[in-house]
Amino acid sequence: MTDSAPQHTTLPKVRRAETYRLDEHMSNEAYRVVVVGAGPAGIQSAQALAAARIEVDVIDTLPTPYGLVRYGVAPDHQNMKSCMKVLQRVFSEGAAGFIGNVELGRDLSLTDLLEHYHAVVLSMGSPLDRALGVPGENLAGSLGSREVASWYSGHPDLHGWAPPLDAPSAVVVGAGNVALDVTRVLAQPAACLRDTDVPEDVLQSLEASQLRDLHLLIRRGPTQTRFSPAELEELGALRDVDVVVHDDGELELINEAQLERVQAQNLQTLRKWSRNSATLAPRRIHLHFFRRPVRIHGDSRVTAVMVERTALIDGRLANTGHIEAIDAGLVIRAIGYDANPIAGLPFAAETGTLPNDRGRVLVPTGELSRVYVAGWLKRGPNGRIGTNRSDAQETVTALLEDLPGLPHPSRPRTNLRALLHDRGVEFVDYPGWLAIDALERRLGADRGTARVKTGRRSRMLKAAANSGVQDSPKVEGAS
Amino acid sequence: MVKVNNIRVHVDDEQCFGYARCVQIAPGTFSLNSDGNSVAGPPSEAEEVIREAAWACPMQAITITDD
Repeated sequence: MTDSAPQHTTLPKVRRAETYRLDEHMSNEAYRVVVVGAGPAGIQSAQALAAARIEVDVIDTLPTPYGLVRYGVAPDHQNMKSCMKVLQRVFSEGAAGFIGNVELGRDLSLTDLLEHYHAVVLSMGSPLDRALGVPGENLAGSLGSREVASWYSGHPDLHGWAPPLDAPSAVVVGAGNVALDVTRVLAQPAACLRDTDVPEDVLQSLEASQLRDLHLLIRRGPTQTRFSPAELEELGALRDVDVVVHDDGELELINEAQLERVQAQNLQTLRKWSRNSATLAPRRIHLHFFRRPVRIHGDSRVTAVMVERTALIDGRLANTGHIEAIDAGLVIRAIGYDANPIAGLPFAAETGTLPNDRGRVLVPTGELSRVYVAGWLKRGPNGRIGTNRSDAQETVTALLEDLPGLPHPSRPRTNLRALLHDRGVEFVDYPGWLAIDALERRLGADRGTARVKTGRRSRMLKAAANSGVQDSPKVEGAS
Repeated sequence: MVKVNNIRVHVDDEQCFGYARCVQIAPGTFSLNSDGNSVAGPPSEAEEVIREAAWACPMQAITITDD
């Protein structure tokens, strides 16, 4: 990849002239901020900064922008991925630069960033799966939902790997929409995912899957879940899948009138399923309420999960000591996420966040750290894509308040790309991403769908590198 | 206001990304505000049309409740 020259090829003329002028003569005058993490929180931070006429670059460890929209939203929810069309604007309009395939802590330090920008916004989210804390959790075949979702989303870090789908039974632990996503993707016929963007090798693994029974373990009762009604209902609409509710007679006893609307809707769905008779479909999803895993069994890999019944006693969840075994060759926990600490910054391990005041990262000296935080790393792993808009706005508001008092960075913004170049980092700029995007659309056309992801990082980087030598302007596809 | 059905419609302003799919499907109920986000007025289409609009929302920002 050449230096930053191709970066400017798709910028509108006015912006290009302005950038040129800033680079040549006023580079130390303009306020500039770097955002680390090109997911919804990072991009919406960049949008808010750009709206205040601040120069912005957005860095990501992946060669692609959009974070969990690409690698978290399930492939059969392409509709929700269309928010990329809104998120892309800040890049396509030239209001922010994209610098992908660059990892904070590996390729660049926080100090490097603060030498080139007035401030840093960290929005890398919560990339780790929280642990269950039960014996056997580290056995082969015991996975986190993030790993599994990354796999079926074609995340480059998981390329060449697949979860074991060779046993007839699997357990998913969790009571939220991520548990539903993972269950839905594994339960539906692979053919149903052909017209989504799932990578070809993922499709082949799903086609070869021997899974027949998926057991969803829910610690609490039918009206204490975090399922969205629409997403719960989707389970019932899957082709060739029966949904079996194991409620111990609980469903009919619940007084609907006392429930919040979301729980009442979910209850209706569950009651409908519990009255259904099985259709002998090739796959079954079992919903087990008031069940928690206490131990994962197996020698070299998972063979069973020991499950304890729980009960609500005076509104508090209690263990009953009643244990049963569910045979399973695969256990997936979807019980939440955790974040990595950042070298040199305080970290609140219990929430997986950086201690902050409206987005200002707090340091022991009480001085302004010039480091800000947005998204899950700021508030914890909760909320949906749009939740990050107000979150990012709050952080940017704090940053803009502080900006006049912050020291000017010692190096020009453009020097960062030169630094990466010198360090041999094969970074991907926005035109580079457009070339990867074009590659995925071509792969999609071959399969008769809008896009097929490629999970091979080398292939992505090659496509991006070739974009630097093409001179025809490219536009991110419309669909 | 004449009531044509017994539902309450709500657009979550935080989740709405301004696709206006709902406005296309049920223009009598949904409109865009000055931010380009959808807002729901009194339901004026048939319930199934409004449910279709909610279903079509890419961000699932629309909720329908029984009134």
